[in-house]
Amino acid sequence: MNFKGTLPTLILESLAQGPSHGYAIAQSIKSRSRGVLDFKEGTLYPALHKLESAGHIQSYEGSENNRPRRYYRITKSGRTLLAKDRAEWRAISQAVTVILGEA
Amino acid sequence: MTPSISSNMTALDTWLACATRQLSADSVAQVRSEITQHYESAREAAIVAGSSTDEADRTALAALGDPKAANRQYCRVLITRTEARQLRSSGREAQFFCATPFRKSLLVAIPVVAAICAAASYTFATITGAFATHATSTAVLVARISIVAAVLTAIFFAVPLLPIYTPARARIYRAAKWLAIATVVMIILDGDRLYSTWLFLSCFWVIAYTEAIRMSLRRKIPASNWPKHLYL
Repeated sequence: MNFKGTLPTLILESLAQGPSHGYAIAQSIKSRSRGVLDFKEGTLYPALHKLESAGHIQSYEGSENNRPRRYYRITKSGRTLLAKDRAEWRAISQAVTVILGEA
Repeated sequence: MTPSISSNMTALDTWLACATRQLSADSVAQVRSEITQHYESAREAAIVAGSSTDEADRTALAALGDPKAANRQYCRVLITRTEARQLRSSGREAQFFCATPFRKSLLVAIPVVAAICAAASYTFATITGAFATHATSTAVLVARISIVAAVLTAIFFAVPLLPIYTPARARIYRAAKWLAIATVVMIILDGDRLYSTWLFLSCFWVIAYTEAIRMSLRRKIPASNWPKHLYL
């Protein structure tokens, strides 16, 4: 399913559950959407870099199974943005549902 | 290393070469590291799920998607080679001019000298009546060139001494800079816009190009990490 433009919000939502690395974030989005939201994982990192340069997430070096990994955690401004995006999405979703006659 | 892993590492390298095209060396290293980590995790997960190593390699690579699409997105968020070159060269210029107090004071002296020269030339032209009789006399021409030199050098040379270290102040400075540049263009063209268009295009595209790269850098680098010249 095409979910262009919502990937940053989904990343923030995933990181709101706790710090994580890129691969785990991708798997979290796919599994929580039960495979409906499938995306090319090469495009995940540009979105992560954009969120990081905007100050919504921070990255740090960590390790998993003795292998170095770059972890990401959500910042205060990231949580604020997530709350705003969530409210916007609910409003849009309700409006579209009403128009489609499924309310 | 088995042949299958070797061939798929080559496939991953090809993917990375395409995805990191035009990026700076630091950006390439960052992308290589994160994508390799991602690829290895995906490959291991596929093997744990029961795939053969060949299938796991193919699945992990296919999950990354189109490298050209990734490259387009990386170029929007990471520093490219052109931008890295500009960062380095601007840094070197700033270091050179701010290295000693003498050079710093020289930067301030140049626009002051140009302004004095302009004032002297206009005074001379007024006293000798050049304004009334010969509008294009040497004195007026010298005065006009001196004003242009004073404005341009004041904008670009006095910067190290100005307290510009917040994005808001930087925006004010840039607005003033472009206003001054527009004024300089008007002085140079002297109302004869069409005739001097070639002059405008040949001289100011460099400034416009540099500014476009700086805008891109400001978008990519967090304001807290901006070097001084990105504020300008």
